[in-house]
Amino acid sequence: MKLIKKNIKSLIRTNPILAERVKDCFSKADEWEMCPAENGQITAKHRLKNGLFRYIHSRINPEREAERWAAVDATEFKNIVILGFGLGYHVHALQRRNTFSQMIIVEADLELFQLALKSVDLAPILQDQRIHLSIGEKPSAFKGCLYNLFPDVTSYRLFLPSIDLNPEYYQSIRGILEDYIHVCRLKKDPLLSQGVMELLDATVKYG
Amino acid sequence: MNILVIRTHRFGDILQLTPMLRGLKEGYPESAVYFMVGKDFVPLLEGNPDADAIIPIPEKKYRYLLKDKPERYSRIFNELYDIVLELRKIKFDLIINRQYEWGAIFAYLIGADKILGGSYSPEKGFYFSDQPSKELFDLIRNKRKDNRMNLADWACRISGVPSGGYRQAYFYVTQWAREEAGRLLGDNEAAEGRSLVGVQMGAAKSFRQWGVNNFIQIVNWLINEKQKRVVLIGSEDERELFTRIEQALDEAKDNLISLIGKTSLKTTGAVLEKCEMLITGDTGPMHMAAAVGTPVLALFFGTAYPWETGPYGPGHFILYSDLPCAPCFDPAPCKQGHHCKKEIKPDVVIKAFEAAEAFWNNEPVHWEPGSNRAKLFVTAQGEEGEQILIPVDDEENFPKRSAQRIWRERHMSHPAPEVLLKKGDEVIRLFLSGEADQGFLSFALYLDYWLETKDVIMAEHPGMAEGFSELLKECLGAMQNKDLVSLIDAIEYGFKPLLERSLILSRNIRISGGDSQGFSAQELPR
Repeated sequence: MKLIKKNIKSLIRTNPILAERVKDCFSKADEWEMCPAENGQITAKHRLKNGLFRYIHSRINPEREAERWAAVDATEFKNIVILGFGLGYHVHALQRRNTFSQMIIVEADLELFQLALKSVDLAPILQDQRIHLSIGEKPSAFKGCLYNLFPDVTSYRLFLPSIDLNPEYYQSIRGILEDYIHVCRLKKDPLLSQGVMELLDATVKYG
Repeated sequence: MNILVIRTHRFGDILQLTPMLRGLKEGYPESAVYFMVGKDFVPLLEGNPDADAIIPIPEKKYRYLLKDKPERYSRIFNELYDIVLELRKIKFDLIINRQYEWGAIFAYLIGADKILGGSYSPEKGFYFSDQPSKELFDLIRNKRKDNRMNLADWACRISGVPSGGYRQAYFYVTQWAREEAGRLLGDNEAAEGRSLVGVQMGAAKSFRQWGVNNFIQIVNWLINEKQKRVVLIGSEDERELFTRIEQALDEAKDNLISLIGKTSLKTTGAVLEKCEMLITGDTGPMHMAAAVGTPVLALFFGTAYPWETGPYGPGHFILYSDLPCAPCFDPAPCKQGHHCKKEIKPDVVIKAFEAAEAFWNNEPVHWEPGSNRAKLFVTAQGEEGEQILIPVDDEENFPKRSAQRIWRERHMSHPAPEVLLKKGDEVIRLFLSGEADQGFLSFALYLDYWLETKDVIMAEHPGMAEGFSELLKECLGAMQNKDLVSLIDAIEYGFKPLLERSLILSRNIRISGGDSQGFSAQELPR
């Protein structure tokens, strides 16, 4: 079975609406070049306006890079949001570490997600009931998903190669997340929060 | 023992803490010293062996965002909250806060067994928990003129650094910065036998500027009478001063180089290192010159008080306008019409320069001030290791102190391959944790370290040179495209194997004392 079929089949089970949207969307094949990394996995490079390229995953060993990404902040989070899906290697790496209860993945680019479905076996991610995908959705939709799923303070991780492609979109998402985390922290540790607020006042007053 | 030092801004004040860092490392050799500093000033501490970790705080950006973009409040709150939580994990034994109220709140939130310098608690507000900090505060506030101790020495005293020993400010100049400085200076800084004199005309505030017309006379004299080349150093907003100087000079301008607004902190240090001396007010570059071992002739007036902030280390000269009202707190509404500035006339500076030059050349020093208000001092080290100022006209004291010459050590040590491996890992960590800007900056620094080290590595293993050139080319392309994935690949699969190979080869060579992996005996390290 082709990868896309296998992936879509998995996606239909957990998120049929997204599966339909992906099937309907046009591929931006001219902006992307899929290419094999040295270890045989697929990576992709994005064509810039100046004709040069920017890679989204390692051209040597995407999996190893992803493992390293997952290990950078190895704290156990109950709830985590990942900004940027790329081809999904880093999400898979985090999934293998199994240190979270719930995860929301935000990816601005539906077409890039479609390319990922065509190129990488994403079934383990797509079938995982703990993982929620917010792909190519408006920031307000993400906000609803966040408030609905995560009742408590959360953490988020950035996958920079994706973020660099749609910086304004992710800026909005980060704004929503930061406001939410701020509010949660005020409730969770009012003493420390009060101290940090005094520090902010002092930054302006004594700087 | 974990020690945290907090000082986020003011270029000169940060460098004035470097003698204390050295003292802490000598006093507690097993300690880990962390330094919290404003992000813009990280290069002041990069490469300093006495600071084990630098914690950059984008305090200036925070201030701007909090004032002008209130919608970013949550993000800044969360960033600071995260920093506090991270630093709490380190469990500091000692925090030395030299950033007053702001640092006091930060220190309180992080917590430590002992907090020195400004302290804070919600019950007491701001206070000083140690006697030296209290004394310093009272002295500066009420009897500033009674103070005879440099702020660098105060910091040592506050932190409990023992007296005695040799104290020195420190700034690490990289090889890349030296090459850049050479390029900016045309690589002929001593062209036609002319040595290079640095001039820093500006200061952060206009009342601390000596005046462009005065500098024109000095620059003219240096070029025409003393046969020097003059390099002007300063920030972008001082560019107009250069234009005025250039217009006033005719043929002499061939020997005038302006680097105003053209140098980074690291390159400024390298330029200063190439100078025979620096003429300046009480500025950041003054402290930097002292820290790279370049003699200074400093002009102090207005709020500047030489005992407090004079260039640190022996053999610097300070011309001080010692009026009864000096040093003042706020010269803006000066009733004397800034008379202190006028006391330091160009002819007095010229005489001071001659005296200083004679001192540095071990020749008899002659000093006859044209005005009895302008006093000339030379810095020296007292018996307890602290800085003292000796009046140059004090015939009894001066000769016996004159043997104390300025420190001028070249920091030529190259980072070891192990350090480069660590730096590479740090760059990757920054990129992967989402710190794009910091990652690119650190990568530039990583390349800088590489350029310093490559000659040593390549001299030992010339076969690696070709691979290195290719890598460098790829990295420059990736930097241009902001392709951080390719930079990570370059570190992990390009630079790192080169370093590991170099380490293995060096070890094999050392162990066997002979040939290794195809390298000939001629390539063995000597």
